[in-house]
Amino acid sequence: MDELTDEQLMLLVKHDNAEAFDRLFRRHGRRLLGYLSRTCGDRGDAEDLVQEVFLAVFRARKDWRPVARFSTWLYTMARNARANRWKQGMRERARTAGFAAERIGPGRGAAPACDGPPQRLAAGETEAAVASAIARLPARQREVLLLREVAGLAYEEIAEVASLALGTVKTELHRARRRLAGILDDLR
Amino acid sequence: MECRESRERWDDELDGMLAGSARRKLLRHLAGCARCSEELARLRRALEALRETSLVEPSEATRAGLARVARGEERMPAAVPEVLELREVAAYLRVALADLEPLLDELPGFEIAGQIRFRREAIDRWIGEQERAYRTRLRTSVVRMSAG
Repeated sequence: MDELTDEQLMLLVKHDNAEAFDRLFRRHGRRLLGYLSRTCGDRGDAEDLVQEVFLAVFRARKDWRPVARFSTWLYTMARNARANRWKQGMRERARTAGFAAERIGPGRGAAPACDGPPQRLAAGETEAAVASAIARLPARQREVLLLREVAGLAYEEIAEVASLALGTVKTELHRARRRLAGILDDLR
Repeated sequence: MECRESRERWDDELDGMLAGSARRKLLRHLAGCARCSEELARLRRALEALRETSLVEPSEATRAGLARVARGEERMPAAVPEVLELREVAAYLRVALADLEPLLDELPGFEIAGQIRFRREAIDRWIGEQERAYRTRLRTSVVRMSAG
């Protein structure tokens, strides 16, 4: 099955092929977990989300049409799942704090689940520097950078997944790369 | 190639999209320009550090859990308790509660504090007995048919 494209594997999944599904997970799980960990803040939350996203893929398998790339579909689902988790976190916090959800904006009180800035993923100096550099990027640059470098999406896919114009993806990625290198240099 | 032109090509080069003569021109410039070459190397190092620290393997439990769902092997959700009430037995056997009532004497239950309960294990054994009885009945009717 290794020689099959993601899209061919997904067509097998559509016909309930469990091995093809496992193959897709092995191909994309690492990148997806990296992407979500970097934008979710918490490794445990991110791992839950990875599971949730792949379950959603499996449940929606009958709707799969090979008109788009599998990775575009996967990351669209991932962003939706993350947004839902974020809203859920907001509501829960609002409940425990005894406020209406609308009254707590991001950045006030405790940070809601799945909303950056991300924390460190592991020990080590490089990790500490990377985590703090990413936290200092503007949100859109961070998103585009992670979709490209960690998720490995093509420019066109990033444009579609993040609802941005192709030109915006290019300029934001260009800026994000230079900014990341600059911050990392200052930190070292 | 000027430094400015060289810089405009860096994103393509980092994305592995530069090929042929365009790439050869860039590499020639880099070989002769310490500043550009150091700058590009710095970008490469930063992206390498980002990728290296970000790619984390999901746990085996996550993978195995998903594989189990895909194989449709979640026959017994972990939430089903070891000891069942009558209505839970009905749900477990996927029949209406009313259908179970005539079988009450037969089902392997026990009484506690005036209520009837069933061990799931005992229900599974009982299902096994029903399966054997069913096979015997089938065989008998086949024999009878071929004799007739």
